[in-house]
Amino acid sequence: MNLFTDGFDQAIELLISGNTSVYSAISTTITVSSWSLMISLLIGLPLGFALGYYNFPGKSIIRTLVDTLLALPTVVIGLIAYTMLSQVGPLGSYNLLFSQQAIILGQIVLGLPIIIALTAAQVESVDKRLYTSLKGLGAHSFQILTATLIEARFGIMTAAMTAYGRIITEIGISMMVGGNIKYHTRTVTTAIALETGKGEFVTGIALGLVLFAVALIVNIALSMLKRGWTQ
Amino acid sequence: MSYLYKLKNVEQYYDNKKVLNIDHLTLEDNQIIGLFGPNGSGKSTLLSLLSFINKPTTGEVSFNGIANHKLDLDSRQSIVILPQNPYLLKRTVFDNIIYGLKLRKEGDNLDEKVREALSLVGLDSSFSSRKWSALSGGEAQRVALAARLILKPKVLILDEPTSGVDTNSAQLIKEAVLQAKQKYNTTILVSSHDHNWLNHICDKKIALFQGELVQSGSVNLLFSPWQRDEQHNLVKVFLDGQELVIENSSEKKRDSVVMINSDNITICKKNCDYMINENTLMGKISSIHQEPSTDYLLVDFLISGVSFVCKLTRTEMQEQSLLPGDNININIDTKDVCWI
Repeated sequence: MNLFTDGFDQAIELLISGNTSVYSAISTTITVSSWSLMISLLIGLPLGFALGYYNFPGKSIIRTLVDTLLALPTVVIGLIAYTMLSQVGPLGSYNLLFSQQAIILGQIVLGLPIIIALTAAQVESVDKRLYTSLKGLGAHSFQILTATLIEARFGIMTAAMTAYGRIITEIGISMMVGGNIKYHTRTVTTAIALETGKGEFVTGIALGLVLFAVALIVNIALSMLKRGWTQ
Repeated sequence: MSYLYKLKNVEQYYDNKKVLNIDHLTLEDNQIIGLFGPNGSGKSTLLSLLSFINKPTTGEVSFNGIANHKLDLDSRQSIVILPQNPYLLKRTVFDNIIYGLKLRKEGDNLDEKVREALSLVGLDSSFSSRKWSALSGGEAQRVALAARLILKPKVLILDEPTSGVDTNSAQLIKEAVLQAKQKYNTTILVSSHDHNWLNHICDKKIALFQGELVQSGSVNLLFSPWQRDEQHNLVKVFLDGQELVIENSSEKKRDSVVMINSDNITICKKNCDYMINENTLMGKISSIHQEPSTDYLLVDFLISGVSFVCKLTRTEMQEQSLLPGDNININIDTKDVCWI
């Protein structure tokens, strides 16, 4: 129990003291996870809409594939991304390995199936009368897409929160393609792994609490936004 | 003659089942056209084709002479439909009403336009700030109608607009529809089970049964259950025990539907000895109104709760001094009925 209370005290101390390595890890975590989420949303929302909205041959196969990708371990994604980005891989010429961009790419692979699968589920559950009403008012396909996504916004926000939660807490991708380089690609999760490996359990717990606090702030902000929409 | 709509060899299938089959149908501009028929007769399907929400499986629907596959966005946006149980966006009433205007990029005087649209459906302008979730069923239906009326459409299609709403809302919706016709010269296509309303407002009525166009005009449909008499003819037994024997019907099935043209019905209030026989029925007049575009008067009457309509000239009406509420003798000529 002392570990937790000491960890909590140290977390406060680390934050108050302005420890540069801790703030760098927090900043890197927020930067890469935010970019990953934004790009995942940009790609995933239209794809999720298409998967949930249209009927086409092979839809159930794609659905099963996307659902399977939800369970892909982050370390496997990290491994695949590593082989793609290494000098002998197809993207090796871009020299992205051990950079924040590499982590972002890997985290997009992690977040995209979540966004696609949950958006598709939300779009499928939208009231079928919506399409008739929008079309009957003269809306064309893109206007139907945007209106449907806005109608499904609560569910899509849940999808975004779920994806963000998975992205911000992953370690396999950040470690394998980021390399855990201090002040550059070290995220909170890779820092926790490092500190725990060194036997610095209290620092590890402190960083864990910091990560929890970041996730809490993001979720509170989104919940407030959701409440504002419903009132 | 140029028509607003022309349907040619239109067939619509759902799950390989034919739900609509119309060889030929033309509809004119600037009219109120009513569609009636039992549930599942294809009314909503036909309206979805006329609003170009759906394409026919086969055949062609043309609007102002332009085939459905060549119709441009402007023409399509000049037609709006109020579906049965319309969907309101999870936004305020104001946002719901202006949604169609935003699609058309018409952003001027929105407050004024919303106020006018709300007043057309009998709602106060204070409603505009309400959320979608704070509306009753009747209010939601009127807001949905206001969202269509604000567009001043060339064609307004209404799919059972008064079903599931209270009497007051239904009345306000009916008034708003007529105002749209008067103010904007909108052509109105409306489906309803309210025969009285359709008889009052429609320039033309179209009857549908099992996806087939039955007949335009004033017709009566008589449904099962049927009984059989000694000659095995089908007999409609009304709740009060009166019977209507359909002649030459021994070959017909017991789930058949009979269509009786209003011309084949004779009614009489006084000095009726000339017409009374063992098949004469008794009924009560429920309403009298003029058939649009003709000199005939349509008389709605009930035989033990079952609604019928027949046609009379103004002279016949005056000779009989017919009024709603009068008890009448009715002869129905069943020799030339149409079987569906």
